[in-house]
Amino acid sequence: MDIIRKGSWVQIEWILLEPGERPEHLPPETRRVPLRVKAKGILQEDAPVGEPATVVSTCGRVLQGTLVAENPPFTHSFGPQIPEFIGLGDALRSLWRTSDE
Amino acid sequence: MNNTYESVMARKIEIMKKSLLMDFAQFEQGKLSFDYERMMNQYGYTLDEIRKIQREAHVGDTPLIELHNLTRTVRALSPKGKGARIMIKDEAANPSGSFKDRRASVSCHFAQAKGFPGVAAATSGNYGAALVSQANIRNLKTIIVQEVFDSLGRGQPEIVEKTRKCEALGAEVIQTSVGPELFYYLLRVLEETGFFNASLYTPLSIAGIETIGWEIAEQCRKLHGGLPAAVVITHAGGGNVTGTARGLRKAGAEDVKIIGASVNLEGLHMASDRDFNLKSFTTGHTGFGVPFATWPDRSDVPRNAARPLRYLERYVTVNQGEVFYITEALAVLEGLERGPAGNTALTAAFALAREFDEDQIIVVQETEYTGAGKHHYAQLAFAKENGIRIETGDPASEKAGKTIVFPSHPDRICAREVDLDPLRASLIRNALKNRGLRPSDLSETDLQFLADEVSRGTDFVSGVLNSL
Repeated sequence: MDIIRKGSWVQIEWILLEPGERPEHLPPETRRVPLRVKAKGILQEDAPVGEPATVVSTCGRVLQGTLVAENPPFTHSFGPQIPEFIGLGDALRSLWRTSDE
Repeated sequence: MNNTYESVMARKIEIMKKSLLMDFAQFEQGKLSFDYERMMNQYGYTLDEIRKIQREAHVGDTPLIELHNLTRTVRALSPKGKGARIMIKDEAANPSGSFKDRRASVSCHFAQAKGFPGVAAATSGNYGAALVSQANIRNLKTIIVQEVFDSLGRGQPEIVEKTRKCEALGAEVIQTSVGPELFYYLLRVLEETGFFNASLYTPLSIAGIETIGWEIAEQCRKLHGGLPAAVVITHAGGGNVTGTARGLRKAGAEDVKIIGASVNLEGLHMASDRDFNLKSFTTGHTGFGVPFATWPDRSDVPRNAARPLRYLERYVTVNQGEVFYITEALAVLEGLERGPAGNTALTAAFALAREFDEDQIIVVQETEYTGAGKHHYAQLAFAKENGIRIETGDPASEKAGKTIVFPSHPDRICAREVDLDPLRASLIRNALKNRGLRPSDLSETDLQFLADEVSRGTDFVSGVLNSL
């Protein structure tokens, strides 16, 4: 198991509310699952991924949870172009009236 | 300290008082009323002072851009002599890329002046980045609580981008799974840190938006010789409509028609873990627009300063496929690559401009930045991953959560009218229901308050009350 070293920038996760602690007015599919929270901070002691860990957050708060990863990257992207939109500019310009020039 | 959900929510009023330096009880009147204008003026900033604060923080005075090529396209679809000039307020030019900097600017100024060590807010939208950006200028720390991922851990790409941007600006970001309880966690944060509660719905936040309305009126007068016929505003929580309309009034532009526009997400539940990733829009949609209009005080402050039914004269919806199409058109016709959600009002304006004369002006009051995750290409790719069919045809056939339909021709783009009277009646019913009141309990003050709340006469209120 990967041990992450004390002082590393890490992400932890914890359960904030168990299903039974969540408000009654929520849709059933939401209330059936726990409310989970993720946060990042500086790891206070060496710890393996998946085990309890304590971090100090950007604002200096002490947070406890399960160690998820060391500095996980952002992987969201722009996606591919949309084939339906190729040539849209020409198609719209072709509608214009010459009198509106 | 007992931090169970019930205990923390029971301390809400007390936490609000300390974190906002405002006792909302002082404004209460009658059985269900409060003095809205007194609350709006309580912090004591004038519009001129707010403009000064915003200038200091590089916010506002954004360009008003005439969209000649989109206008020309509208005219090609309109009867001779119709097709208003469409202009857009390029709010993406604000430091963090959206009009939300205006909302954050005044809260951060106030928090700094009162000696708070930081600011905190629960927001999954552009407001998070705006708050961090403004807080940095004012040397305040920031904590942002965001609803980001579903129970399978899959993040909505647009909100993942908001996390990235907040962290890039130096904020502490707390990410939650689906559920409105992020406000519960915010209360805990406020209690623990003593930070200022930079809610989107305080009078400070709404006062910060008034400058958009004021600038639109001034820019139209100076650059175009007169006021616009209408301002179209993307409507979600109601702040954008409320602040812009108030600013226009303060600039003496009472006759400018206030039109709200939302993306139609009918059938998707906002607090549903299942529906969360079936939406291609995380704001500017009916899932916020309707409930916040009919019950503004559902917000995270005791009395919401955003009260859209006081100002809305028309409310229209557009569909997701139409907004993506117009977002692409804005890029390829006008050279402006801007975020999809802010283009909701632009899509409505594209359809509405056909009703107005050629010499009239319609102003779309915001753009927002785009980027990885937010971009319409990213959202369409994500929709496909979630099993949503992408089609071309009649956008009216779109079913949110199942299909996204691009218009096969631009003349199929439509601003679908929402009848405001049922929403007004709903607000009145909610005002009584949420306090357990009967019509006979109400005083004259309450009747007048409800009339003001829905921008109709007391006759209208009495009519609704008689039907209960």
